[in-house]
Amino acid sequence: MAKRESLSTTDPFAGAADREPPAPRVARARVFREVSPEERARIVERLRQRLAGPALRVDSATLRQAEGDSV
Amino acid sequence: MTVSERAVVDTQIWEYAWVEEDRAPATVHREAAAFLTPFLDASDKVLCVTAYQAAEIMDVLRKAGLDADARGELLDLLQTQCLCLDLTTDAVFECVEMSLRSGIHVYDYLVAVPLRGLIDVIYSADRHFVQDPQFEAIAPVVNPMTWEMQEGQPPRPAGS
Repeated sequence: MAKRESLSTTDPFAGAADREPPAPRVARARVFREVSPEERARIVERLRQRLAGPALRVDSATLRQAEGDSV
Repeated sequence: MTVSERAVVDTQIWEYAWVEEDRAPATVHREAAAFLTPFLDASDKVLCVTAYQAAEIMDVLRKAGLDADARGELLDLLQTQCLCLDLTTDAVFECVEMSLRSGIHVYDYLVAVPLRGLIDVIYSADRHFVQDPQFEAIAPVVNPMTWEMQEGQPPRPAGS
């Protein structure tokens, strides 16, 4: 019983601020990873070829399931 | 000096750039791929994504069956060529409140709303973005496609 009383009087948020990882209070917009111009060109070229090439063929049921409720 | 256009491209357009759906109009994939390609390295076009959308794009394509190599290449693009925005608790709750008002799922808001003030345009073929004027208040909503999407259905010709 004593244990229950002590639980009920414990502040569930006590010390939470000390335990949280530092979270951004202000959103930052940034390029996540800087790369050399050469690497950048390779990344772009690979994507360009993908987009110009054959697409992944997917049936509608699979695609609706992939989208779920989020898209 | 050239002024860059900072744009959100809705996840469905990213999705169809890589995917061809058996029951969708034949042009959907081609249009999406052709629309996205100029963003890859154009100096006057900047793709903006929230941290949420980056994850959404990657996971929709995973579930659609895109192989890991192709997804890795896409992740390289998102990390190096896009302006990514951290999500804060404030932004998430603002999106939740907007969703509460409209009845539209929160995910569309998480794609666009946190980027308020940073973007010039929202490109989307999703009817939700036209249906709720809260999106237009973030940035002009433009459908660059000749098709449109409604939740849970294949794309169909715009205006049909």
